Amino acid sequence: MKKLQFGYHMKLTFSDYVSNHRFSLKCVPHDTDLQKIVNMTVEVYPDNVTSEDSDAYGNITLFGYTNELHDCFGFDVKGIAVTGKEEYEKADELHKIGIFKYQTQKTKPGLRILEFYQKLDLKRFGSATDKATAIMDSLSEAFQYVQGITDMETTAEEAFTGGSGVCQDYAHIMLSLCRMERIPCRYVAGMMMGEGLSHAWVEIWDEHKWRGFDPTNHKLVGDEYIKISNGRDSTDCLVNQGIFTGNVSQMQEINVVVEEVFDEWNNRIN
Amino acid sequence: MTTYADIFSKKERVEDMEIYAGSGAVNEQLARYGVKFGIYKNNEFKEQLFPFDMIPRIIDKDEFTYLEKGLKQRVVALNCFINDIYGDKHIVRDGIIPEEFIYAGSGYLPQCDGIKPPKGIYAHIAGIDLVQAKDGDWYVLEDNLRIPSGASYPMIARMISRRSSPDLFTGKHVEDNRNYAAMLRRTMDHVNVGGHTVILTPGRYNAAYFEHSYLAEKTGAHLASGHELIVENDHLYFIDYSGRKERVGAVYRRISDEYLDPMTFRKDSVIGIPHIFDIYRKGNVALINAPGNGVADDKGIYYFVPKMVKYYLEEEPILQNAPTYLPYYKEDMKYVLENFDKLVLKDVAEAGGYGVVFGNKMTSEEKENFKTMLKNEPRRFIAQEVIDFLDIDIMEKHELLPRKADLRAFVLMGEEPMVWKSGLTRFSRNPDSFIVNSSQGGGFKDTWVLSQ
Ligand SMILES: Nc1ncnc2c1ncn2[C@@H]1O[C@H](COP(=O)(O)OP(=O)(O)OP(=O)(O)O)[C@@H](O)[C@H]1O
Ligand SMILES: [Mg+2]
Repeated sequence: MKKLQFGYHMKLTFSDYVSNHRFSLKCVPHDTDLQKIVNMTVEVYPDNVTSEDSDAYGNITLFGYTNELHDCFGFDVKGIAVTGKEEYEKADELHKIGIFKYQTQKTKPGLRILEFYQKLDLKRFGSATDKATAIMDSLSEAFQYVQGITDMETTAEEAFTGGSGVCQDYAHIMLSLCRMERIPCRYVAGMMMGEGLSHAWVEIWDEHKWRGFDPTNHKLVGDEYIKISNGRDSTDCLVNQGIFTGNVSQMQEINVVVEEVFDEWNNRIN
Repeated sequence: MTTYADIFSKKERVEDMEIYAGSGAVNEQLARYGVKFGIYKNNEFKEQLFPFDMIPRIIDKDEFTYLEKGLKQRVVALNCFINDIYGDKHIVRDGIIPEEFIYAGSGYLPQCDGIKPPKGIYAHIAGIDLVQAKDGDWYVLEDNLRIPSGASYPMIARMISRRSSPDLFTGKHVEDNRNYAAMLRRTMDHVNVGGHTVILTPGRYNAAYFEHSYLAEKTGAHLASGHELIVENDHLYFIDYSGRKERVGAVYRRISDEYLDPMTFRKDSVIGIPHIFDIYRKGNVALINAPGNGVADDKGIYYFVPKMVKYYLEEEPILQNAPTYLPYYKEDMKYVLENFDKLVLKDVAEAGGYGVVFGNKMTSEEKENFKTMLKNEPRRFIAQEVIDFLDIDIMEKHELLPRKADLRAFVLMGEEPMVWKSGLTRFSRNPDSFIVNSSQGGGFKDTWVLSQ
């Protein structure tokens, strides 16, 4: 168990003023079996009207609008997450989560992933966890972490063909491979201890448990992770979606800081 | 079975009908009203004239009573199914429907999962397509639960016919069909969560605009396009001409799910309303029909509808499907391959009569290609016995000609399920064709339900 202090900051800067801005944000972590969120503050700017709801996957969605002219838009989410409360999230019965067994536009395999899949020879393994471990092991060898080559729109097959990408791509490829084995699995967006960008990983269903795998870092998901949202692929977990009036270009800055906090005697929280 | 020949005197048949038809008065008037039929193909509306034939389809009172019972039962079961699928999914758990028919198809919208729409109704307006075989048996060919269109055509055709030939109806005991608007209004009011009722149209240049404006006029609902509606503070508002905002509690939307809300569905939609789906989720507006109904009306799911009736209602289905085979099941695949020539094959992803092919109309090369496709993608197709359905006469250049015709019956879910005592009868203009779809050049007739 850990006590993690987090700050998630996102800022969009527009090249000119925009108005009638409608937005939907999935940037707020919620309580799960693994984590409990306390002392959270959420700030969305400029002045706006914001509502909250949770979507079909249980993710918190903030949605609202800003009508006045503005040339930047962003949010600041701060709080404390108590993590590692359990080893895994309890999962719904299989018939309710069937949707996570099937490929999406983003995860649909092409020739390259298919070829890789055949070489994996997953029939050797019994449980979903063993298969997922084998997938993660070979994927981290076959794929390189390089920023700036892929983007938000890149599919699993495109990324895999290119041979390198970021956490989103690792996750999509792993989902694609697990789904070929009909293992229910989902995309997770969140944060990880350290400073930098937001992170993404996958969870696979094994006997009523969602088990977290981080193929980018080649490790199991533990108490240094904070989940924000999950879905079929990255499109269900978009941090920010917006439409507005104005023909502009935009620049996005993201800064995530997650650090462990200790109590006054400098002990770890138990 | 009553045909028009039974209820019109010979004199009427020759004189009235000829005047009525020959002059083309009704069609002229329909054209003047802008009665056209829009079809969605590749996400584009195409506009076509929808020719009217004045010889009605006539349904006896008893026969309609039977259809009415069966239709209500079917639509109630379909609503149970959609609620279940976006809820507990018992029908999947219990193995009645294999999960890939739900999750691998395009009809299931994961965004709708967990939603309980106002009053638990998903399919408020259902258009059930039926055909009557030569022996008199009726078969359901398809359930349309997204935005079934077409009720306005028999409504206005009846109105114009009454006006131009008032005598045509005297003493015939035909159920009045002007009550569709009142039924629709009750259906919308039943789920309205507080505020105005709006019919949402993609706009004036849309080919289905006639139906939208006609239904708005007849029900007294506001006709609005996306930019006249706005979500604020978790509620939907209609902005009137003076800029005033009025709360909206129910939207009969005539735009498809994918265009409804750019924040949840297609981002490039300019005809939708941003955030309407979010407040619908919260129960702050009723959407008619509810998003996500595609899961219940695709051709693959059709096969399971009689099973749904048994499963949810514990009743025997009153209406039957055309005998249908799912190549997904091994025995069915075998049957389909062996009996290919006598079957009609349908691509589950298509609509509007596209992707419907008759085995006996294919060349041997086409057959072989089709069979290969079938084996590669068994879930993509269904096969059906060809129903030799009844011809109904149409009048063409003063001549009576028999043509294939189907019936779209309208079932509305208000406090109670209601079946409109009329319907849209579509016919094929081509003597050799079974395909009655308007998109394939068909025409329409009024449907007379006898009251005694
Ligand atoms: N089993 C059948 N026997 C005879 N004719 C059939 C059969 N199935 C379909 N047809 C004919 O083909 C037409 C189109 O079939 P169907 O309704 O299944 O296709 P569709 O593409 O869904 O059309 P739409 O969506 O416009 O109703 C029917 O209206 C009917 O005229
Ligand atoms: Mg049809």
